Amino acid sequence: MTPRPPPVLLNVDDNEIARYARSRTLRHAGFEVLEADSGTQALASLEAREPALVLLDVQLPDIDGFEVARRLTSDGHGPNVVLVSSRELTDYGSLVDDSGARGFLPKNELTGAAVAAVMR
Amino acid sequence: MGTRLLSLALGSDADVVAARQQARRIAELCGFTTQAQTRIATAVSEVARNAVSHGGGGEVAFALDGSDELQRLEIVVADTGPGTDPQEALGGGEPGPRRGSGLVNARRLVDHFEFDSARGRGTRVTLAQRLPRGSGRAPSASALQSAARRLQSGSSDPLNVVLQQNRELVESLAALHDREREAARLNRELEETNRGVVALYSELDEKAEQLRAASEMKTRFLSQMTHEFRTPLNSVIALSRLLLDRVDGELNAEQARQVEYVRRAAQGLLDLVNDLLDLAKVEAGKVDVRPIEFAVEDLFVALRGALKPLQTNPQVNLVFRAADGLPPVYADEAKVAQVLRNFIANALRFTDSGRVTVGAALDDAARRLVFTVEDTGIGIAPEHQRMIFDEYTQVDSGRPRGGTGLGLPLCRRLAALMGGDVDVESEPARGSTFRLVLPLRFGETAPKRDGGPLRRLLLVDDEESFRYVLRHIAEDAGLHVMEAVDGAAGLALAREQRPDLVVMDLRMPRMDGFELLGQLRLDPQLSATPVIVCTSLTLDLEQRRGLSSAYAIVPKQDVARDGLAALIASALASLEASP
Repeated sequence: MTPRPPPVLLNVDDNEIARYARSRTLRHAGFEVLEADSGTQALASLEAREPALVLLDVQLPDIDGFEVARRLTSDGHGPNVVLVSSRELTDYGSLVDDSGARGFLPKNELTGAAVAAVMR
Repeated sequence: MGTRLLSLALGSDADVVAARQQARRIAELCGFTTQAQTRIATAVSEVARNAVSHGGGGEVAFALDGSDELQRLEIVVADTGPGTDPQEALGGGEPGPRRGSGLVNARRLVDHFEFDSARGRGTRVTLAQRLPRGSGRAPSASALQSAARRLQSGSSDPLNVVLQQNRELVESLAALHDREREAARLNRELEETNRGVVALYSELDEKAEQLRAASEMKTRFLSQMTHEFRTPLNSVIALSRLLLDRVDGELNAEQARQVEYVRRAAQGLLDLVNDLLDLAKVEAGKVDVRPIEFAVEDLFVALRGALKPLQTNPQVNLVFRAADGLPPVYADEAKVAQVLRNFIANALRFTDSGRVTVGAALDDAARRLVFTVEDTGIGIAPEHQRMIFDEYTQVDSGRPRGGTGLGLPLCRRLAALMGGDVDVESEPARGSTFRLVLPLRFGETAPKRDGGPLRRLLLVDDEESFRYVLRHIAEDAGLHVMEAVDGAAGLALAREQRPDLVVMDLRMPRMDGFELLGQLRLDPQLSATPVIVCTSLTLDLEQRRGLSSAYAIVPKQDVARDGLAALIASALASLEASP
């Protein structure tokens, strides 16, 4: 039995340090991690390769995370999206639910285990 | 009767005029003011006229009476007429030529008036007026006597009498005019003061509005800044974690220690930022209470797990008392956990040896649940016990032990949001017990009893907008609401209506909340009425002591709909438990 290839994640965050720390942590946890630093780049990178899960920062410099999530999930075939923020879920009211995202993770709780739990 | 000065026979109208004249002169000799002289002379002349016209004549006698300190001029007018019923003589002030009208007037003019009459016994009227004190003219009785004798021998030329009376009239008119002018001036002054007060109030309103705006801005700024702090702190923590997990290679012992310190410092800073953010949110009214039903036992299990990492001192035992006998609670579990976590973390921080005991007990009567966190730590001096719940104050001994100083204020605010309260009992060097008191069921409205009378709430606050908000909350909770705009009106209404519950402000015109509470407690029928104090004042220890008989003290800025409804419900429940 050959080992299954690791799941592919797209890590979208405009903050280079936060993005690096998250990618490194998740790679260490066994994921393959792609990166994007803006909403536009995130949408473009999906043309090349479809990840199993998109970790999407809410605050992006060009298109905000909610809008990116809407575009990714509007046709019903897109990847699963988890919104990520340094704020709490309750700060956003119904915005998260309305965006089509599958879930929400506060940035300080973003560990390999938490991501694996969302993917199950 | 004391020293007799002079007496005159009363037989004719001329005698009445003479009596009046003598009365005025004697009054003058006694040192009375011109106006008082006229009053006395007029009273004597009225009574003398009665004696002549109804009593068929008699006598008027002047005398000095009383001790040196309290000398008075006494005038007795006696007739030998048929007498009358005092009731009839003095009964009414109706105008008309009745016998009584002159007497009624005379009675108004002097300090003391005595009427002694009966059918067949004649009439005796005694008038008396206290001599002016400190006039420097108090004459001796004998001097007065001789002066009076000289008076008696003097003539009573009718023209002189008329002239004299005219002079008196002119003086009286002039005095009256002066008083009218003075009254008008006082009125003007009052009006000006009133205008000033109105202007001052609107200025105060404006200032209050500016303060509110500034406070809102501060909260927004704080909230924004703390969010900005979180991102880099999260990165520092995540990167230290990568290093400590040896993801990219081994660290030697010193390096591992340094990175661990980096992680811990960043974590401490993040905790501070999070506390600040929570406080700012509560202040801005952005925190909702999300109640669920849960078992205290389950909460304790979760807390025990979450607090394991804080138990670094083997000398201290963290003990959770069994909580399986308690009914399920309907409250915001996350917030309850947050408050208890804070209490326990504090207790562990300030306890070098011994134990920290966490427990919960049901106050069935009041339908409240009381959580306690008891430690055997350094304790808190009495003067600091209430201060530790106030924002941005740090008791001297607190700082070296770490902690942000914001945890307890946050606990207080969270408790208030849930309709509860926090407090502490402590003895230095012995330990502290922190308590969180919560309604058993969050937002539970007053139990509606079939056919029972509506519960009545008295709301005392001069701030109209607050009364408006509270009226709606209370009415939705099924209460009848009465309002008073200041302490004095509130007290009157409370005495008259006997409300089941009082909600009051502290800073109010006419009577403040401290005094109102004291007055309510003195009234046997209101002494047990629960009083909830809603105030925007920051209270010092002394003030809090003054309010110790209040059911609860809620900062106005913390008043949230559900929390207050829960508080009202638990106050009413306590009433039902101990009728």
